[in-house]
Amino acid sequence: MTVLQLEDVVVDYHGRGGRVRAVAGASIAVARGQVVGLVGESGCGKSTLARAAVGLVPASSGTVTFEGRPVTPLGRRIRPAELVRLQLVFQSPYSSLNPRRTVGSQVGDGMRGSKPSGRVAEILEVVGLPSNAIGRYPHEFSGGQRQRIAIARALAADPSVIVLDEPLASLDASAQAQLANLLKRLARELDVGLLLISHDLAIVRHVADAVSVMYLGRMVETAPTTELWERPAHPYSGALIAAVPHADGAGTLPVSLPGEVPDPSHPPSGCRFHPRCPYAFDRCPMEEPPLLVLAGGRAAACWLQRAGEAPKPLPNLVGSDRVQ
Amino acid sequence: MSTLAVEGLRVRLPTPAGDVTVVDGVDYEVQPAEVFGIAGESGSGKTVSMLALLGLLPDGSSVEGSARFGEDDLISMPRRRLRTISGRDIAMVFQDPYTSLHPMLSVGKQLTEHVRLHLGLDRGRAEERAVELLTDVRIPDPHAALRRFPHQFSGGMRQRIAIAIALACRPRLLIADEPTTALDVTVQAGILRLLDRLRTEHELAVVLITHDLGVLSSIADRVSIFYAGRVVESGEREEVLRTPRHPYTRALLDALPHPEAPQEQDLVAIKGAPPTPGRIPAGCAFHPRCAYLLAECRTKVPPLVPAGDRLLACPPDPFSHL
Repeated sequence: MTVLQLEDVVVDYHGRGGRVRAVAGASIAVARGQVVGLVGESGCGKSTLARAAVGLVPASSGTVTFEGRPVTPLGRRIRPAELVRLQLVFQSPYSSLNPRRTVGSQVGDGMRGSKPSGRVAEILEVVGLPSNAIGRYPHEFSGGQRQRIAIARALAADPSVIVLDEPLASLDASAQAQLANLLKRLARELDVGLLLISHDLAIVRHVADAVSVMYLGRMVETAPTTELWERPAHPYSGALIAAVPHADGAGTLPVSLPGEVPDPSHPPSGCRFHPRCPYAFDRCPMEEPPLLVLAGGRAAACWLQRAGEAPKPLPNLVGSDRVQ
Repeated sequence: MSTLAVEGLRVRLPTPAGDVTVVDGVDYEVQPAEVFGIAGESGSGKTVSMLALLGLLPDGSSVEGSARFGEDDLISMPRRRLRTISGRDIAMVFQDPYTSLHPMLSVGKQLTEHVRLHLGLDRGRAEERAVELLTDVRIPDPHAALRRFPHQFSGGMRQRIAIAIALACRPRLLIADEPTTALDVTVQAGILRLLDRLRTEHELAVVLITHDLGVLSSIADRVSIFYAGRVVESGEREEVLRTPRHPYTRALLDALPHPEAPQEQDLVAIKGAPPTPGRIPAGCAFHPRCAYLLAECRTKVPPLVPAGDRLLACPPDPFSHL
């Protein structure tokens, strides 16, 4: 059952240079026990969407609902009690933890009413930290352990959904593997829904049940993880997968996507991806493709695909001068 | 002849708790047009071993060993001479293109100042050289780019500019410390392709430091795996990454999400955490985390010795049959 639902969310930032539309109509849903990955390059709006999901930034239009109630943007008033069950974990465990308070007291912050230390110890054990961590300070822990402390603090509120903004970035491979396994376990064993924001499709593949790919403020593809990885339906998803370097010793250079993410205040005409797309044809700069619903629980915003049909494989361009 | 030959490099850094050994006997060579890759987790001494060569360590550090660069030894040469060489014959590119460029100076200024200082060109010639460099690293519209400031470029473009500055004086050696870590994968792929082209075109010897074995695998010719300040395995990229023989190299590779592995399979993390300098375990530094240890591993520091097609610091050598 869907617990967190974002529909047609638009988020604008207002600055000196005028309005910037960071999220231009994006939808995503998370059910209990489900891990949903949200991937895309920096500047695609994924972190803004995460913030809109928990009410840290207001949506200009569209709806965000959590457990059937609207998520109201954070204001001066106290956050409604129901929304405590919707938690956010930030990217940097160096800046999101208070260096001067013990781990135990920070994890206890997430609990309402009395804060029995037995419960704190239990939660620390769930995330794989020793029970003596309670009386210690954040600086005594490594980056990976700090990220677990941040997750423990979110778990203390007994959440039904946790939104995680790049929790695996800046960790060494082994710490990343430990944390990725922990996230999977939380979803399965505690029945928590996770919205996992990441720029690393390879690690998302190991953790997420479903993936949404975002480009310049819009969703370009949504699919069950394995299918997306094996048969991407949108050229941008295909480019993200081809750019992942493989540690197989073969000495193959990853495929690079030419160009840059365009300025979101002046998005390209038609399909926003067309200036970088190796498959673009005359329709693409003219008309923006909607997110077409395809067979097999998939959707893609690309004129190469047809609504209701199975996703067509992308033509192979290796060796062609349209990719580098 | 190799561009750089490092032998017996040992670095001790001062800390409040006394001096600690951070790099403990490291040897390697880099040839022209070759990418030599150094990989390991944070704190394994990869970066410090490079900073030591360039005299960039804090006061009170001690460096032993030799680093032959052409006719010179970087470690014993006077600081003044080292300063002339580094920046001209040896260039560095760092992880963070946001902090390695000066935010208040135009790209043109940062590029021309550099070539005027080191090569003694006049303003007109320096500007020509700057445009040439920006074209070489594929910055669109290089003439306009000269008048812009770093914040007007994306992370990937900034890293290209940092590489252009590094190449300005036609160095023979480029040290790239995590050059793609802060970038998106699509942008990373572009930078790796750029480095790969430049090393061939400019006969550039490259030392690439990375924690990402995927990056290492795409571009390095030979690799060394660092653990706790020592090299545990070293050899041709293909041999080391395809058939790793040190339990640590193998564990690092197993921790990565493998593109062909079934999705349900858990990733295999290495138990425990890497040791902090100053608290390196006795014997083989990896032994508390190793699944293949023998009694001798707890007491004897394993030497890095030839083992068939590579160098290996693991006497039990549990994967020799593979």
